Amino acid sequence: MSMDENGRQPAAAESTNELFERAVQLHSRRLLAIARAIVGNRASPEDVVQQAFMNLYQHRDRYDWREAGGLMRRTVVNEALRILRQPRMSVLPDDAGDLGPSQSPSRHMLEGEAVLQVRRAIERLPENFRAALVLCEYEKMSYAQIAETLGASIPQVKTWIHRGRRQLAEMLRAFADQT
Amino acid sequence: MAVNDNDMELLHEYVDGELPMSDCEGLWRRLAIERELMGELDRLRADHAVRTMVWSSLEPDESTVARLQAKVMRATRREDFMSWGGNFLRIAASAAALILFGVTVGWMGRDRYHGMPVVSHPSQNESQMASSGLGAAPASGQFNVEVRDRSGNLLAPIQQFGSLQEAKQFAHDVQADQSSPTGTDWNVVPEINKF
Repeated sequence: MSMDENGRQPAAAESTNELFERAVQLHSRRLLAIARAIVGNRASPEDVVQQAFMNLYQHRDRYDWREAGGLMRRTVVNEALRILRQPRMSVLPDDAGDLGPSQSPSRHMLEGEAVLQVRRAIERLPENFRAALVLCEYEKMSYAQIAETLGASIPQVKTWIHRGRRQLAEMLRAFADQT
Repeated sequence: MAVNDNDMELLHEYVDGELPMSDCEGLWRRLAIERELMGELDRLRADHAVRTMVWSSLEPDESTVARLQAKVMRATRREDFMSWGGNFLRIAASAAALILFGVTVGWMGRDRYHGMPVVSHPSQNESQMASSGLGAAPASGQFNVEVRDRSGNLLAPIQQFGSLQEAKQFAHDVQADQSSPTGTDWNVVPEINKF
């Protein structure tokens, strides 16, 4: 019998619903971060992730829930990109100043402005560049895995990452010159 | 020597851990002698470190995660209920359709019951005759004939004949004599067993 993502041996009697629930608990945090990186302030990351989860739940019997990380990541990325491609997008309040729970106030003071500017620059990148960057740098996925997730070729992913970083550098250089 | 676009791609792949080991060795040799390339690598790593902070800053707090999980669980329960309700409705609709079909068929066939050939003398051959038709009747013996119209009104009481041919002839004669607007039916039952 195969082991699940946590190295545990799944109980034979564990139902699909229980496996789904466990996968949701295990991956929610990182998927929310990915959704937030891709949609920025143009949609609610919670809505994106919830919709992705529900899409999966409706067809839950088709999937192997013992290793659901890749499946969930792919679904969230696709849902985020789908929402960004919709013609009418409402802009949510900018929460870019929120640096997360783990940072001390002094570090927040020092790094806050730089992080804020980088986040704003990332939001200005084309959606595929953003998705490729977050999967590469945050999820530490290989180019091949990113290509599979985004439904693109490996050279295309390389180009997106390379151009994304270059555009970010240019935007931040402009910001540095201003300050 | 300026760092060109190809070198930048090489550095990106190196930073991402995607550069094959054979290429890494060549890059290390170049980094040792090309200051600009080394400087560009340092800059890439610094940018990477800042973006690592950015990605970390995107992580939600516990309450957001818990809220999402609760919403998803509620939505899945709602989905299950809707799915169960949908199945229940489908089954109920199928049952209702079947009942309606049965009632309709029964309603349409109610008149036909009155026009069915009537046999007034039950015998053990009656069901055989009804199922096999007159053609299967024996050529000789006792035959009872009763003639009714399609509304069930008696036109001629039961009479006995010695042969099927005589019984049929009698029924035809009665049919020809009567001018019932609903038409006439007749049936012949062979009485092989005396009673």
